[in-house]
Amino acid sequence: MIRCLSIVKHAYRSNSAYRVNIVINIVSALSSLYIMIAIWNALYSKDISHTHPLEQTVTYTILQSAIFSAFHLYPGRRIAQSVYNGNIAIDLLRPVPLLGLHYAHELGNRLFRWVTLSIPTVIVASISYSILPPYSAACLLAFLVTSILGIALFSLFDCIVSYTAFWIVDNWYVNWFEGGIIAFFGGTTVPLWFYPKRLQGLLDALPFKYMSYSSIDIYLGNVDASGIFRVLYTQSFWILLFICIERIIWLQAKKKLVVNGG
Amino acid sequence: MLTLLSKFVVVRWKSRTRYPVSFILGIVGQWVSYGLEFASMWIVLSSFELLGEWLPHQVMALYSLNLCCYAGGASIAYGASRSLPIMVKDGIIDELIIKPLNSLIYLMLSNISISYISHFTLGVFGVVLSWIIQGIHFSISNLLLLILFILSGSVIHASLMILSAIPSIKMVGNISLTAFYTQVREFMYYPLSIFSKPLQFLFTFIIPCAFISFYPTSLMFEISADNFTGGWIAFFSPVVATLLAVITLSVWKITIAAYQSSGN
Repeated sequence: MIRCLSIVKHAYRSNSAYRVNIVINIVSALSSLYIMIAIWNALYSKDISHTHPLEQTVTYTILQSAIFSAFHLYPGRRIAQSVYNGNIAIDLLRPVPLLGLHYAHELGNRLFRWVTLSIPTVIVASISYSILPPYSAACLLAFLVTSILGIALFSLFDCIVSYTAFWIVDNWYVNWFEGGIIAFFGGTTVPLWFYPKRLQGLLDALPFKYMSYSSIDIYLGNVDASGIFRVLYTQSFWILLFICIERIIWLQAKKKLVVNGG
Repeated sequence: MLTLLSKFVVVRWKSRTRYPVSFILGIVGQWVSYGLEFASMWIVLSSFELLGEWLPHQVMALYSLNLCCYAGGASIAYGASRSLPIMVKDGIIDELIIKPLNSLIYLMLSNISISYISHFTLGVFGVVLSWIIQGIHFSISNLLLLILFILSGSVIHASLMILSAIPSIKMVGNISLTAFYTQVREFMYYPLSIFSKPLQFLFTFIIPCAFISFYPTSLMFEISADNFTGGWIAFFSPVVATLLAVITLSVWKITIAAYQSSGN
């Protein structure tokens, strides 16, 4: 654990080497937010009869792009990269479990991004646009808990998908499938409440909406108490299932490992 | 030059298709990713019906034209813009300078990519579909105009990619400006008229991204460009592309001339 924490610290510090990047990244994040909010303003200016008001959609966009995008951990992608370039041989010799090592690296990178990017972006965005506060203290608490579970769910899914690298080595295209599917079914670009009713059943049955959409929906007060518990149960179910799948694949992957380079 | 270009393309094609499953799945993956991105956008647009003055299929045309142009530009410049900061950081840019060829041209040719075939095919599909919905005739003149706009847009994209990478020669290890360009590119997927006037001015006269797809689509779909210019300005796209390419080459030459290697 202490070793993992020192990896987190090291990853955090190595990110701070290029300070100009911080400013440019903030400008990039704000411009991205501006685009999305300009689109929502343009859409709502013609039609204000939607079930979810503009303020909710804007708040959703800010929370999604400023907080969740910055905290999506990709330990699986790091492992896949390590398989591709042969560094996996060294990683496996380290006195830290492989997954823990890459989780810690990702956590350090993302913490840095969160502190230097998400917080300033949310502050500037809250001054420029009207961000709705959490619906209630209970909603805020549920939002925080479900967000952590959602981030865990996301990273486990990334591991499962990325472990394909052990069989096909150069799995760069898997990221395209992963990104596209999560963006569409998880509502990371467009809130799922805009999706047609006939798709809602499918969205409920898949794990992707529980990665971030459900948490923001809770924050906005669109989910009642029983709905919150349902989200928690569903997230826990998917996490347990993904942990089992990840472990099974990992056991098989170890047998398939081929170290590149020499 | 064309012989060299064709040789680089052949080499890239061979190296990429060496693993055909990987190559084909890569194309399918990009189709899925962009297709789903547009599907989610389509769901929202259909639910509201209008984005500014633009109908959903017109936004699809804008998005698709930009995708085609991006494919053209990125094929020749994305690899170069990404590898330049790494080359500077690793101190291997000297290799580039001593080649008996314009160093920028060599950098672009040696990093040429054929992977953008997926973007291009998806973009063409979107353009064709939106033309059918709008009832635009596939006449020779319209097709020639479309090709001209795709070529111009590709040059603008390529120039802006290279321009965003050039500062990394001075600011060693900095890749944020190229990432920033990726962000700027996002603006081009939507009608410029929904953004504020200063931004419309910026993307018309300072960073002329609006000439990539916004003005050409406004012209072809006869949508009144709700800003300070009319759709006719689209005819300046080739001029803007040429000017930008010249500026990019000049900035490159000046920067490389002032470059001091840290080699041993």
